[in-house]
Amino acid sequence: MDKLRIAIFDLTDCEGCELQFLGLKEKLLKFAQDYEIANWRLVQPHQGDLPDVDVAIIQGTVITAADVDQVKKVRDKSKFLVAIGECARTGWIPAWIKKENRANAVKYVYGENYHPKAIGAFPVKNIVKVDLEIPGCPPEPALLEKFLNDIPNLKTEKGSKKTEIGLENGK
Amino acid sequence: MNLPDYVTKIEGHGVLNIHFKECHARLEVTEGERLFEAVLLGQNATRAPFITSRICGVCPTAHNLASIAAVENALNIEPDKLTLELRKLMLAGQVIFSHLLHLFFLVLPDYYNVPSALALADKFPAEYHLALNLKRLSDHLLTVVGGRPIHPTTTTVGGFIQYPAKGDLVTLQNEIADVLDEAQDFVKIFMSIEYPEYRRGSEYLSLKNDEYDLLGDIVISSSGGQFSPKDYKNEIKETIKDYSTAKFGTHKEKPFNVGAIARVGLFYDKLNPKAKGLAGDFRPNSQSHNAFENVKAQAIELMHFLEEADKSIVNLLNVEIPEKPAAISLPKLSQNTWGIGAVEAPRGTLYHAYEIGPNDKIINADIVTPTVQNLTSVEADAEALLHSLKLDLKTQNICVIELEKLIRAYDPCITCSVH
Repeated sequence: MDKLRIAIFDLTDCEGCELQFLGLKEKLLKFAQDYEIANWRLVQPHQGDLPDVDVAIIQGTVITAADVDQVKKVRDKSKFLVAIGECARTGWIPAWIKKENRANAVKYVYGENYHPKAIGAFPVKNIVKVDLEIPGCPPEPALLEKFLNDIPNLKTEKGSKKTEIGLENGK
Repeated sequence: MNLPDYVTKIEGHGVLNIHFKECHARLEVTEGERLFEAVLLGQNATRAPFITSRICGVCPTAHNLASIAAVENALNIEPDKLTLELRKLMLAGQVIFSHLLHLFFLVLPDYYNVPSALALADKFPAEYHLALNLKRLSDHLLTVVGGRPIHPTTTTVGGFIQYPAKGDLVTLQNEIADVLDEAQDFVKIFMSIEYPEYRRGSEYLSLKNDEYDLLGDIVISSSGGQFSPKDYKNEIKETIKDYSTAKFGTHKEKPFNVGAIARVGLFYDKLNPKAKGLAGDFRPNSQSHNAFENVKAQAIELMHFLEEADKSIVNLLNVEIPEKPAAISLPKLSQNTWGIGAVEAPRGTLYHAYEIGPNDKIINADIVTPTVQNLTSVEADAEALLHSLKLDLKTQNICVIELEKLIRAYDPCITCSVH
């Protein structure tokens, strides 16, 4: 049987979530053998166009237009999409700046006449359907390990993409 | 000519644009602005360490402790000796954690010609085993003292909310003893790599203390000058560029370097014995600066801070550590007051500065990260390297590879640089 193909993406964030995967140490190696890792920018060079993947893992807040494009592209290519960590789940700290205060916040940090890349700060689910959320800032390694173990059992209901994994889902 | 969409294997998002004909390099940082300084406005100052550790998952402990130092400075709180020793130990763990990540997962694949760190496991199982043992140790150290490796939970303004148990410190001490020999082998890998050769003049800056220990109350320069961290804003200028979401730092209007290369260059004499033995005659010199030497300097620091952590643990085992930290009552400010905190983060001096009001709320905030301070030098080094390479169409691809390696040697934390 072909290996299940997974891919890891970071939007705008501290990268603590993906470092938690490295914290799995020997176990991560096992997962790297069990699954094909189609994309993980932190540890491998650019892989070219993203192939279809079974499970896409997204961390970080949607902040730039490039983040929005990335999330949409990943959704198109993935059967199952997982948002890990508080930034991807809720937008977290960058989303504490209210929409109406954003222009002033940019001016405060960068001064006048600066054109920011940021267009706002949103959770992934504001842009695309998310099948599973894994909470934590960062998520506990044990939770990530459980998730990685459960990948072969991830099932989506046709059309609704509802998860059957025993972790917190949805909101 | 452009490189591929982004420079891979650095933390965060960035593009290096090269104009080969003019030997001109431009580092375009494309990471989105999270606006942490604006997030802090109006927040209670004691929340700043929680919030700002989340600027960076690679060096959260450094941000957390610089933030605490800034608030303590504003409130005029002098942390006790136990607190300082524990913070030194945490920072040593932070440097080991971060340098290891960079050296093994990001640098080594470049020089061993494998596509990724995960692929190293097949080809170089012994090295992989070494790296995982060091990773285990640094994770454990940061857990024992800081509560966990990423985003510490035990620290607070004025001290700690939880102290490590002495039994855990003894365990750590044994674990350090167990990895010291292996760690020497690990360091030797990076000392024996042949790095591209080019030289230019730069300036090295670092916080200085009596020891080589990542805290300090004065910033010293390889040029012989020095300044108080309180004057950081007059000394280090941040420039906003239209092509980058990260600001670019200069000192006296020139590029300069902070981080492992600067520290080993400035404090070579204070290296711990095993680290010094490994360093031999390797001593970075700001006048003949080669940024690739930052990789060697990180390897030397990995050993130095293993030894330093051991020293801290010995000190801690010789003092009484109460089961529970005493309650800390914070003084009230009578007027708006600036507080400035600086620590040596893995990549160099990190400044947090907050203006706090009598209601404990943050009125102004400014954070200057090491990578921002290094960015001007990244471009200068890229151009110096370009000049040293023989450029023609045939070698263009080789140049691109060398430049990517150069940027990685800096271990730039793009995430930190756009905070």
